[in-house]
Amino acid sequence: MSEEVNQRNGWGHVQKCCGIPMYPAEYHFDMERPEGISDEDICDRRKHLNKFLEKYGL
Amino acid sequence: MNLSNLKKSYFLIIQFLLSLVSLESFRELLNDSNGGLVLPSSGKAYNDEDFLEYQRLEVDWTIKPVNPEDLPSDFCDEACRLVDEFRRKTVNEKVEWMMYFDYKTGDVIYCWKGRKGHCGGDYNSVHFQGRNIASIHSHTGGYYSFPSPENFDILENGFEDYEIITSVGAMWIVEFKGSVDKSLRLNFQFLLGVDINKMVHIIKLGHDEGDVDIIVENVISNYLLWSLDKNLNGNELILIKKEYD
Repeated sequence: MSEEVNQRNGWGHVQKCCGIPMYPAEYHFDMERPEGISDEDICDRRKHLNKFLEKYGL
Repeated sequence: MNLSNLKKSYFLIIQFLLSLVSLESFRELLNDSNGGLVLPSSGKAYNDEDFLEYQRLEVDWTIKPVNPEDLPSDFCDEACRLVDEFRRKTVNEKVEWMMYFDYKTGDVIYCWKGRKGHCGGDYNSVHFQGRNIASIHSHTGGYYSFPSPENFDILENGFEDYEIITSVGAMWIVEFKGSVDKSLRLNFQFLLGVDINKMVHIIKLGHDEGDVDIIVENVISNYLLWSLDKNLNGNELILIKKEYD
């Protein structure tokens, strides 16, 4: 997880993620939905992604 | 007093003066032993444990080089050498490594050895003032080359212009000059996470085990490069992938 926390007197904390593990390791991005994201936003995004995936026959 | 102690004393005096506004910060700095702090006046790195270990890592001369043309044009020669060396030193490592460096001087500001699947640590932004900062971190073998949704703190970090991600077969350059607020950064990461979860799931379901890794790497890379909306409040996130297979 990359995050910047503890901003106090210029101090912060950074963590860079090592990436997504290859098969057969399991990966699932688990993050609480931010307040600014609506059901409609997710629906629109799915449509956009589906259109992209169609190019690969997925 | 030998030269090393003289340099260390000089460094502490400089840091004390920089930290006058915050004595608490200075006390924390004195206790720091994880994070390669640079000496701004001399360009020599402070004797940090992780940085000393990084310096001792073996260089793999068998892999293809990262050439200056592969990197942004505002990276100086020293910074280009640092990126090439970082990849050669970390490509065979079992743990991740991370640095913050000045891409116009090549100075290393912080250096951390990864622990438990992540790499990083505490920093003080006083060390970034007047600098041109890029981060670099490695993905070890067994991980895809592309940035995961958990990355992209660069969007909120006003001090960080570039994020370089190195791995066995590729290097990613993430460029974002400026910053957006935390809510926009979280929205971006959340929606990207939803996308990547779905892509990984669909590819695993529909393909032979032996083909999954190469398809995930290619499809998600192409999505990030060509299909993802990277305009954030009028500021463009730039993603570049260089392959070295």
